[in-house]
Amino acid sequence: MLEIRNLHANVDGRPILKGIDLKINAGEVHAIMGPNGSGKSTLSYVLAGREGYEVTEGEILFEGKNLLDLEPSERAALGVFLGFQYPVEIPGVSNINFLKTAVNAVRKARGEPEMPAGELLKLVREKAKALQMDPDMLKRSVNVGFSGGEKKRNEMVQMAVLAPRLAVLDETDSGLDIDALRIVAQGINAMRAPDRALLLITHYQRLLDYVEPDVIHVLAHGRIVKSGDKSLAQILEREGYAAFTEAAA
Amino acid sequence: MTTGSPVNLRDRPVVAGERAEVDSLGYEALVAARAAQDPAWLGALREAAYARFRELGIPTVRSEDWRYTNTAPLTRATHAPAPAVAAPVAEPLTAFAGPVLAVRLDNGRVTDRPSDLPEGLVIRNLAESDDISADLLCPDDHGLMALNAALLEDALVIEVARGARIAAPLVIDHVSHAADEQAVHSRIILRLQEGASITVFERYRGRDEAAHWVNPVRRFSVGANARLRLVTLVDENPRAMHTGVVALDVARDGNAKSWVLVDGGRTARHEARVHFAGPNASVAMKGATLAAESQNLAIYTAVDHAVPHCRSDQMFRSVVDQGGASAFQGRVLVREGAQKTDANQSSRNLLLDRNAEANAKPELEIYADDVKCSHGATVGELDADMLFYLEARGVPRHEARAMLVEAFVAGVLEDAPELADQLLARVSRWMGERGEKL
Repeated sequence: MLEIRNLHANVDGRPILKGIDLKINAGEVHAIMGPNGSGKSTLSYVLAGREGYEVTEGEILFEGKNLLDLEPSERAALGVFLGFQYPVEIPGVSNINFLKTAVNAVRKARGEPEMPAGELLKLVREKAKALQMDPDMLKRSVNVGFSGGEKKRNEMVQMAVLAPRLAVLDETDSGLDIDALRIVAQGINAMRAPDRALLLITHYQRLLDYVEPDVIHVLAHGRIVKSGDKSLAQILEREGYAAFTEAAA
Repeated sequence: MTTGSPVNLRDRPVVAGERAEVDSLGYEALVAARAAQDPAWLGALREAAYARFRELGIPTVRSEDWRYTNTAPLTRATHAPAPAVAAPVAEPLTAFAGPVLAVRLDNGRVTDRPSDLPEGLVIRNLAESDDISADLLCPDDHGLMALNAALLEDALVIEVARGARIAAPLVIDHVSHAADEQAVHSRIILRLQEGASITVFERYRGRDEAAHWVNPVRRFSVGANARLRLVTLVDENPRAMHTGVVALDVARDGNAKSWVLVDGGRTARHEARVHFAGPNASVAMKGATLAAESQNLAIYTAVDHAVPHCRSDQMFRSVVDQGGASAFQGRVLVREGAQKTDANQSSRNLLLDRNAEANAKPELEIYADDVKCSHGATVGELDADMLFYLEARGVPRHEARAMLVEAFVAGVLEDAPELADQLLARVSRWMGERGEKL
C-alpha cells in the first residue's frame, strides 16, 4: 500500500531525513520509534505534504501513485490521514462543520455525492460516543479549550469519520493519562482492517502495549536503523535508543 | 465640560493643506439654483450649509481624520447632484424571515415606502418635513456633511413614538444610478422616542459601475431607554467613492448596536460617531472590511463619552487581499467628569497577500480618572498551522482559506445570529472571487 524509497528531506535547508526505505502492506500496523530529533515528525509531515518540508531525493508511492506530486488535500482524498501530535485550534469553525466540510471535500474529490446532513450527523455522533466524547464538543470550535486528551480523542473521531486507507498517527499517545490512552488505543484498534494500514509514530513503548504492531522500526539520525517484530519494543524499553543511535551516527 | 448637545470631536490642531479650497468647483451656483426651488427655511439652510462647506473645505489626506482616504477625485472635479430617475423594478434586498418595512431611495430620493405602517412609526420625506433644520446642519458637521445639507434632494425622516416597539425591520435600499462625477447626497433622520425600539437595515449599492460619489448622512437620536439595531452594508460599485456618516446621539439608558460591512467601492470611508447625552447608555459597534484590487476602504469611529456611566464597545475586523488597503481609525474621547466610563476597542486585520495593506489607529483621549478603557490592534496573516490542518483533512487550499476568513469575520457577528448567515454568504462569495484569481 505504501512504499517509501530512499527518502531524503530538508527542513530550513537542513537535512533531516537521510534515506528512508519503508514498505507497509494493507492490513498491517507498523510503528516507528525513535529518540527526539530523529526525524519522526518530519516523516509524518512529508507524508501529509506540509509546506516547508522539502524532499530532495526519493519517492513515496501510495497504491502506485507518487504522493509527492499531490497537494495535502489530494492526499487526504486518496485516503491518507495524519493524526497530529499537536492538534490545531480553529476558533470560529465548529467541530461538526469542520467534519462535514472534510467529509464532503473528500467525497467531492472522489467524484462522490455529498453525504446527507442527517446521515453525517448520525455517523459523527456514533464515532464520538465510541471515543467517549461529549456530544456538546461537536458544536464547539475545533479543539478550542479542549484538554490534551480531548484533542487527541478528537483526532481519533476525525479518523473514524473519514475512514482513511492509511493513517499516520504522530505521537498520538503523548500527553495522555492512562485512561485516555486506553480510549485512544481502542479507537486505533477499531480501525484495524484488512484494507487499511496504520503507521504509529511514537517515542515510548506504552502505546504499543495496547496497540500491537506487526513491525517496529527504529528511526535514528534520519534513517531506519533497525526493523523487527514487536519484541523490539521491549528491547528498546530496556536498553534505550543509545545502542541504535550510536550505531547510526 | 459635560454637555447635553453634540460637541465637536474634531478639535485637532490645524495642519497646512488639510482642507482643499472649494471656490473653483462652482458649487455655489448649484446651491443657489437648488435653493431657489425650496421653501424659504430650506433655501436659507442651504445657503448657510454652503457657507460652512466653503469654510471647512474638502478634507484631504493631510487631515488626521482623513489620512487613509484619498479625496483627490472630489477636489479635482465638481460632482453635480445626480438627477431623478424612474425607479427600476425593486429587487428583494435581504433574506429576512418574516415581514419587513421596505423603503427605497434612488439617487437620494425616497421612491418607495410602505403604505401601511405599524402604530407608532411615522415615515416622511423632505417635502413633508419642516421641523428638521437642526438635524440637517449641525455644529459638528465636516465639510462633506455640510455639502450634503446644501445639495440634498430629499430626506427620509423616521420617527418611532414613545414606547413603540417596531417588530419588523426597516429595510432601506439606497440605489445610486449616478454617472461619472455625479453625486448622491442622501439623508436619513431617525428619532427614537423614550422606550422605543427599531431595527434598521440599510444597503448602499450602485448601478452602472460609474465613478460617482455617494455621500450619505444619517442623524439618529436614541431616546431615553430606547433601543436601536442598525446594520449597514457599503456595497458600492467598484469605481464609486463613498463617504458616509452615521451620527448617533444616545440619551440616558439608551442602547444602540450596529454592524457594518464595507466591501464595495473603490474608495470608501464609513464614519460612525457616537455622542452620549445621558448616563447608563451603551453602544456596541461592530463591523468588517473586505478590501481587494486597488480598493481603499476605511472605517472611522469617534465616540464622545461626554457624560459618566456609559459604555462603548467596538470590534472591527478587516481582510485585505492583493492590491487592497483597509484602515480602522477609532477615536475615543472621555471628557472630564465622565467617570465610570467603560470604553473598549479592538481592531484585527488579516492580510491575504504580501501586497496588501491594513492600518489600525486607535486614539484615546481620557480626561477622567475613574474609567476603564482598552484598545488593541493586530495585523496578521492566515495561520499556516490552521490551513495545513484543514488541508490534511481533505479541504482544498482555497476552501480552507475561505473557511478561516469566514470564521475570522464571524467573530463580529456572534450576537447577531439573524444577520450572520447573509453577511457570511457575502464573505464566502468574496473569497470565491479571490479563489478564481489565484
